[in-house]
Amino acid sequence: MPQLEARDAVVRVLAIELKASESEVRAASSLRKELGMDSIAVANVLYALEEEYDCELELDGVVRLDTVEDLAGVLSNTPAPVSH
Amino acid sequence: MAVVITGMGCVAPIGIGLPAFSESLRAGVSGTGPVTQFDARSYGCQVAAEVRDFRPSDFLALREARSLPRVAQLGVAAARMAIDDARIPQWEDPQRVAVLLGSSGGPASYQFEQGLIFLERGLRRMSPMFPAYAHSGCIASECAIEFGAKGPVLTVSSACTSSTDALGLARALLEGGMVDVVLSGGTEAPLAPVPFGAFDRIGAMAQGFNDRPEAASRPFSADRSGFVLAEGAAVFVLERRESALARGARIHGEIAGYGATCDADNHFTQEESGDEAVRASTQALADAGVTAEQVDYVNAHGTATPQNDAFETRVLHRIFGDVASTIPVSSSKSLFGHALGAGGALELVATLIGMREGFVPPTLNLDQPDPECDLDYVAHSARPARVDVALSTSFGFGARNAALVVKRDLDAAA
Repeated sequence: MPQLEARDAVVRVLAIELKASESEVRAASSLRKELGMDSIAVANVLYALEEEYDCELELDGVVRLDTVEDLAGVLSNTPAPVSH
Repeated sequence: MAVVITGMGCVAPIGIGLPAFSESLRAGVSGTGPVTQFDARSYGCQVAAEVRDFRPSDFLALREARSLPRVAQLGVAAARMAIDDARIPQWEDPQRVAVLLGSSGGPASYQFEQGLIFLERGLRRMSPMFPAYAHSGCIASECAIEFGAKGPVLTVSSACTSSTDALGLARALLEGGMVDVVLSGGTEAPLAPVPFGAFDRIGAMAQGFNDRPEAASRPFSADRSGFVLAEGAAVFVLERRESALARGARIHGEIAGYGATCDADNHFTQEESGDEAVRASTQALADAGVTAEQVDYVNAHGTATPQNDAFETRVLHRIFGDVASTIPVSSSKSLFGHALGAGGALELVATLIGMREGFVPPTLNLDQPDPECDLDYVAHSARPARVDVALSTSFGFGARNAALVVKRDLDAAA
């Protein structure tokens, strides 16, 4: 998935989780420091993205995730599921 | 000190919200249909009373509309309508607002659903919210979070007496002065393969009506064959009468008495004599300070199982003696099925609407009276009547018995 499309998806899912408007979620926002997300909130967002795009995000990188853009990068680099 | 109901909300198979519910109740519309929430073709009973057209996003933020177990969604929706109905824009003191909601199975269907995801797709695909949502307490705490209630927040789980017990205990909290407002009632969402299948397996649900679902729930009829499983929620706003009057609230009725007992000898049904079942109702009547002769209407548990309805008839004869046959008795489960722990709360909505609008709700499908069921069951259609005092009974697995007495508030402005 192209990075821009992934960023839009991440922003949309984050806004639902945070009950915020999409304009409050910027690409450079830090998930934990600026958006105040804890491990459960991050898990909810990863879960929502995996459900919506039927994929498994590369979680090894999650501990290094800091910003919205980082998360969009993980989604962007995740291969689409092989259809059966 | 009187405890009164100043707000009601319901999400039921016969209507979402009071106007729709009330219209179906008066018209005698059945809420039973074919099961659509899962494939029930392998079961003997394939009908249920489902809440159709419930859109969680009408009542909840998108996050909760997508993730919260249905049982909690129904509860929050009913509570939101009750608070609106009570016209309380903001709590005077959130720390003195309690939530006491009854539910028998709680999030059992959700646990099953997530368990299946775990087995089929792995831990990774289970909801991260599972630890917060998979316990029964979540039903009350989601209401507390949604509406900012900071007092005691409890889910009461006592099988099919759950919401009757929750309401009785809510009244006690208010009488004791611990809180000023209680959101109380019940919610249930058991329409999933395991809970549904478990009742089917023990032969508790209606058999032989898959081709005419609306006829399946037939309390007190000779050809009744079991209950129709239902989902739904009803929540009330309870306050002390003086504070309700002080803020100019409209009063739906008074919760005047509560009784609760347990046979303590059986996993399922009440013991034959009905001693404890009788005691729950006589306790509630004494608590309300009313005599048998003063009761204008009984909203029966009336599940439509062969055992319950004959048993309950005997119990009512013992409670009311000579006047038993003069008191109208009906089973609202003939309209909206058996919502287990939420049943008592939904039936209280039916009772209070009848009280307000001047009718006794009907018992549908009572085509062939059972000789063992010989009371006045208000067959087929609602009956115009003035009801000032009503008794509502609930029985539950674990041989529990509970009863509430509600009274019209005669002095308050309507």
